[in-house]
Amino acid sequence: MTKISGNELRAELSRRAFLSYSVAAGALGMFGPSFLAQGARAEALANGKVMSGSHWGIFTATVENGRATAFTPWEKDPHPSPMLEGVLDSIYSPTRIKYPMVRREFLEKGVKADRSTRGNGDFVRVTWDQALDLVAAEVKRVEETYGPQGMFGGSYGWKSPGRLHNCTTLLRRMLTLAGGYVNGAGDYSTGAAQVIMPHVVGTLEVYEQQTAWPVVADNTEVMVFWAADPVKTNQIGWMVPDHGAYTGLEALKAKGTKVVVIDPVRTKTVEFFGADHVTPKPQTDVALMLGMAHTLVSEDLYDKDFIANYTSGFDKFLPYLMGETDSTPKSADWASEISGVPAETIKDLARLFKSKRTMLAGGWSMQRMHHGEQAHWMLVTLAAMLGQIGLPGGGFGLSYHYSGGGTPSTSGPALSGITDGGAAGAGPEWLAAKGASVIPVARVVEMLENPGAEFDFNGTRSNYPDVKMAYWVGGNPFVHHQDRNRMVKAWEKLETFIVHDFQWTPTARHADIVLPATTSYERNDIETIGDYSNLGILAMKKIVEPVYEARSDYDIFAAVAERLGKGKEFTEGKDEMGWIKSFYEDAAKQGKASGVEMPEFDAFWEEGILEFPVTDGDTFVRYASFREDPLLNPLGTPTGLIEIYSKNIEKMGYDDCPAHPTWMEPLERLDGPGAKYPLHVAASHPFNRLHSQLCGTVLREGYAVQGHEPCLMHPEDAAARGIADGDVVRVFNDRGQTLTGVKVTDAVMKGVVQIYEGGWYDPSDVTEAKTLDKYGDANVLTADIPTSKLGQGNCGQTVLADVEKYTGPAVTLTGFVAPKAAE
Amino acid sequence: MTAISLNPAVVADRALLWHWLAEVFLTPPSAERLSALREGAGAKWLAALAAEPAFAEALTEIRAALASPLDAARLQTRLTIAFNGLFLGLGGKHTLAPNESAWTHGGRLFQAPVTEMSALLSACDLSLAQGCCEAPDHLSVELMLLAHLEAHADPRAEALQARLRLWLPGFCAAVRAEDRTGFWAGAAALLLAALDHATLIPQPEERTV
Repeated sequence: MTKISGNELRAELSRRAFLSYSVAAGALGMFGPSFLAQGARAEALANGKVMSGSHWGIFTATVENGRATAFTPWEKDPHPSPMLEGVLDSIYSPTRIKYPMVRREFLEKGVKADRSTRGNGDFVRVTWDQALDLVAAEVKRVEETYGPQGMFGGSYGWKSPGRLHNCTTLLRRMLTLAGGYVNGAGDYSTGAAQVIMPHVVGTLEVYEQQTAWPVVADNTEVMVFWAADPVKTNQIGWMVPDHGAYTGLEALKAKGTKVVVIDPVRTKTVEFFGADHVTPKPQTDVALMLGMAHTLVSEDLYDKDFIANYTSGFDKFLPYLMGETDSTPKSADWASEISGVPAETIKDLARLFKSKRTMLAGGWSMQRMHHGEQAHWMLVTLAAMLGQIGLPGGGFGLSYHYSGGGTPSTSGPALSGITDGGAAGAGPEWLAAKGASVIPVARVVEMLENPGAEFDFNGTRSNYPDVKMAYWVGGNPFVHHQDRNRMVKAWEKLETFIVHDFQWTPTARHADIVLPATTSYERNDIETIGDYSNLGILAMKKIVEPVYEARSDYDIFAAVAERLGKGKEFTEGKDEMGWIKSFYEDAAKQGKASGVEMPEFDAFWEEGILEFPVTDGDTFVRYASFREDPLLNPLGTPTGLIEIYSKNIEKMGYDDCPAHPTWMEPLERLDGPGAKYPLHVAASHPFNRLHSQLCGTVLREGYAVQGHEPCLMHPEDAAARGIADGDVVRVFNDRGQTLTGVKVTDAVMKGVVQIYEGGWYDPSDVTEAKTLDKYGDANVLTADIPTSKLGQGNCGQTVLADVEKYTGPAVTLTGFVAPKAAE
Repeated sequence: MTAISLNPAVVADRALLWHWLAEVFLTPPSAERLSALREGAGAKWLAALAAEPAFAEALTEIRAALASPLDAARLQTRLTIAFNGLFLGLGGKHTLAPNESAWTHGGRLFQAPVTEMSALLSACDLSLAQGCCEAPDHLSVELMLLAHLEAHADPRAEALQARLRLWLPGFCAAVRAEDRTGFWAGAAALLLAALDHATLIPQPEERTV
């Protein structure tokens, strides 16, 4: 017997076992090659601090050994968003798309693939070359077979900020070179308001600078947040937010200004201010406003001089208001009957607003419903009757809740960005209506269902194109579009559906080809700070190298364009940093012309941020110049005045959008005529997400109820259904059904449940009609109808449903189960 | 003194087992791999594993999943859907990332284990082969490295086993709870059983031959 040392044994085993292992593996023929390679990789992993930005603000990333380990808010951010933790998590989420994948059916059968199984998850991995060849071939096939009318490039959504990696513009740039595409006009946020407001006040209004917060803090005596929750929604910005609105909100609170919130839900804003809270039944805002307007007339309180000098058409509105045209005076009693708000409260509010310097700050949910155009039109009309438009701290504002509206503007130059290569359009780039043909963006399902059918839109009549392929980037329509089940069915018309994303969103899961995109934090870019303030320019520096096989949208589209023979046209010979530098230098030229000196690009990039000074932006009063002289400074309306009656709209002759603000019954409303279901679903913007963004992050663990999206329910409504706090419930109507977790609270009024929009659609069985959504996607329940023929906006707030305790089979798990050793 | 003979074939089998499990948790089975497992060399491999009492129960689950009445194409689709949903992110919030970071750092990937595993790979003069884009703390990478280390009787295998024992109980329990096919539920059970089984094998220093 020989005793050998451990080392000798290891040496012997190593020699013999390695042989045995190799031989056995080969003989069995069932083992793939090892994915370990000999030789250590020479890697210089980054360490340090990197400043960058996102929809949630500016932050500094800590990088350790090439990994981002913490995001710390910018020290000058007055109100950092708690969502920053989720932003970090988005890079390293388990739902990252690792590599290009193609739906097996599509890979094998192409356009003959069974489209009803989209979303079932049967994806197979392909190489980047395979994927890019396939994408280029599909783009070419559709363009050559059907022309640009067959290609939908109206990809919509909250793409990441950044002037280069603007994926929706990059998509259109590629499709323009490929031959053209069908575009979508407008957006889901303000579909109705952005169309009606130019008729009323001559501008989009919803995306305009507001009377500056310092002016409001100094002058406003009554601040009314009507269907607006600025404390919640100002966390985010389309560009990189400055969070300046919070400074304004704090100032208002510090001064003790009276704040009234009109909302079915006790919002963060109510709590922040300790505000007076008025709770109308949802979708009755127009009736409530009419009741106030009627009070102003009945009590001879309205500002006749303002109406006479600054508005047009009040004389045609007044008979309607007083019931002379339809035998229905829009009195406070009438409004009370519809809205549920006591008549005396309505009258008191009208008197209060008239007696004090009042700012009516309207949110957008009130126009994201059937006949939504009327809400903001009536709000402006009410403000006109109060006569304070153009006075410091008075009038109305439609963007105090969004992207820091009202934060004082600087005099800095504008930053340019990558273009889609088409003709320049007016207004915000995501609203530009360019393309082979254009549909109102929220009518995409109707387009798929009715190729060739006529549709009206803001005075025009067109035909829906026969679209065969859709290409989506930077958006999540399988969450943001209404009536999910109808949508899923309509999507089967598409021969091909391509998606870029960094996470397996519900939309990516329903694609044929999925390409993994980088997050903003894995590429370099540049962006403006502050949507309205233009506080400065931020170097959005790459924080970490792309994870897995992710590539930037720019690189992906450049590669597709290259395969289409348009590579040089796409890149114009510039790389990532070349483009970024060119945008900066364009701004520097403008700055020089206007007296704002900017450092050389390299110095800026090294510093990471350039701030501009506020000169007179803190004294801005919206409509002050119009009020000062409406003849010299007319509005952009046909009359140059605020149009309470629009002859242009009258000429359109729409049965669902009369020529002056009008109360019209929506498709369905709480306690409304013929209401089939007893509860309204308030599909509000979430507190811990940007619509659906960050739903796939750790933030969800802070709000989910038994793994589901929360459903706020009034105690009486819960008791009537035998539902207790924490129960999983099925919310249902004729359009669909979804599971949520109940939070019983009197924060919602009786008859209303609140389910935040943006919960990721999670169907039980994609092949089953009206299948149960397992997570809590509110848009499974909403109606996919247009606001009207005028705006054709979406109606995400038009929804009734019922709720019952869920007793079906369990569908959730508790998430990650940490091993005991790690606890 | 009792002489214990350590058959090199045991080492080989164990290395093969880690190698096979690494593949099981890396990608869904291809048509060829599935065919082999149902009726080819793979079936014999599974039968051999099933002969080990500690593995029998897990193998019963795996073989039952493979014995599905579905034809090969449908079974492959079923397993692909399950894999993508369980491990690749298509399951959304249900995703069970097969990464150590996820189970030791609250669900988030690319945490300290990535750095630690990178360092270990480098120390072993190894790196991830081209085409493998996984994080170094992916279960499959850790298992493949374990196969390599054990095959070479490298003492660092023991530390790696300990590392796996730290997070696999939670991961495997979740897989067993969530997998509806039985294939990965069985594989998870096999993985745990194999790790436990390792403790039955005396360490080299304690042996005589």
